Amino acid sequence: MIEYILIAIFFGLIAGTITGLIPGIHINLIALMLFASSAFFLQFIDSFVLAIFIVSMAITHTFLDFIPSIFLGAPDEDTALSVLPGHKFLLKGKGFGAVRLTVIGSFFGLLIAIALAPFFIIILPFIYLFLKKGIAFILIIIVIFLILKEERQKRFLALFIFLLTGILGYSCLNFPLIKQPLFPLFTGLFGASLLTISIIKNVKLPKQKIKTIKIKKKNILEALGLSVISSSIVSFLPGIGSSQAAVISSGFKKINEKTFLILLGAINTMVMLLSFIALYSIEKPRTGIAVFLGRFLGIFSEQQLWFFIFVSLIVGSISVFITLALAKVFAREITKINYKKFCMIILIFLIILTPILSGWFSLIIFITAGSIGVVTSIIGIKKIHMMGCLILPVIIWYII
Amino acid sequence: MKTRSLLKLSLIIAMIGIFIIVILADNLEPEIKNISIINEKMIDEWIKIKGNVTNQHNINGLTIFTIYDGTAGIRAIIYKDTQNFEGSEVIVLGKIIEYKNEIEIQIEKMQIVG
Repeated sequence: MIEYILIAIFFGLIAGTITGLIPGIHINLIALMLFASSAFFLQFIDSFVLAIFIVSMAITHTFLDFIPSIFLGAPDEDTALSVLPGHKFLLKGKGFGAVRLTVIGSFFGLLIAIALAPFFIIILPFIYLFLKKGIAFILIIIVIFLILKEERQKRFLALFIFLLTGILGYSCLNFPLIKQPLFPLFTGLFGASLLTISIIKNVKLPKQKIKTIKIKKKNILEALGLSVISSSIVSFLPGIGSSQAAVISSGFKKINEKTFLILLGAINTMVMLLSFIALYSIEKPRTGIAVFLGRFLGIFSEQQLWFFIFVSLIVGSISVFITLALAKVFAREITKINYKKFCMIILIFLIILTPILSGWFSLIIFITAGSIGVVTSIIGIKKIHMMGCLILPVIIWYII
Repeated sequence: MKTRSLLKLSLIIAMIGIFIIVILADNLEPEIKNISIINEKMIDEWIKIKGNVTNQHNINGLTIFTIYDGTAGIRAIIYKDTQNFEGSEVIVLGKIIEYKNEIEIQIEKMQIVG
């Protein structure tokens, strides 16, 4: 059995690296393919081994998926908010340092989630009942707070972008002919807009330094503290994920870009690990991966949960090295190519990938979302307001 | 391209795009399918089915019933609508979801046709 588990961890690391690095190939897609072919695999191995593979892949993915966000401007729904601060560091030659900050966040977030796991297992059912009733109001208060944090003359524009993306998000999520609506929505809003502006402004990348970005211990602790609060709030509620957790964190305290990148890394990994705990504790899957975990194992024991947590720790530790090594490769290679042409290639790649993954109608979403992203960048308001695309539908869902 | 022109162009595309998406999302629906074709690979996809409602019960504002269309049956849930559909023939549009290892349909639109 142990050799099968080690093989599952190894292939999970490889699969998570691939899904993390290539935009559009999501872990849920690999889990679905595995589930579809599980009858074949279950002839030779136990379903628990397949579950180990899923856990290993999912945790690895949460470390690696910041690389395309920061270096290519091609995020997924969990890393969307890292594009802008990540790109700023990239333009200063500090792309590697930016990825390293997210890795710090992911790893320490993982450690904290593991340390708090016994507490979460006990307290979760109570938090869940309490938050289910109040989440819409928490989100409304935070949205108002974030809009009021803008300069006075930009508050109306922030509200306008929030509502515009909210209507777009609501329509996309209720568009029956579109599969995976979050892909065109997020790559458009956060990725395509940044790539378009880089192309038009003929942005040139400076030589990337393989150096760390200095950050005070106080800021790391600040990010980790906020990630614990927001991840605990969102991990157990339907329809709410890492990005909403980041929005909630921003509502609690003003933080700088370095702290924000650590925060995003921590939330991304914590939300994934907590979704395994939620599956055990309240028997509800809160991420796509938890859905597949539930399908492979049904209701699992506390012993199995602790084994998943142990595997997450091993995989997370290895992922630190994989992510930093690959970020170094990206940092070295990215300046050897013409960045304008590179952005064009990535943009064309996303345009081709969008109808393949989500159907032809998704191109309208991609173009519209990209245009809103460009408007937001030019008028100079924070991109976090574009999270209206998920926040508004969630508020509507909980209130109506 | 000047920044001002880019802003105007992007704003026009955004507004027209949202208008088109709202209209299409409200009016375009998939074709009616047989319940028997529904499987795990279709989770999170939208589907439209037609069938008869049986076994209806309400729990905390959630209405649960089974829809049969002659090829198979599927459990369906609808939020915040507790009226009685028992015995009615309905066309429903909804998302395929999984709950406790069972495939269900989460209804977004429902029309009583008989």
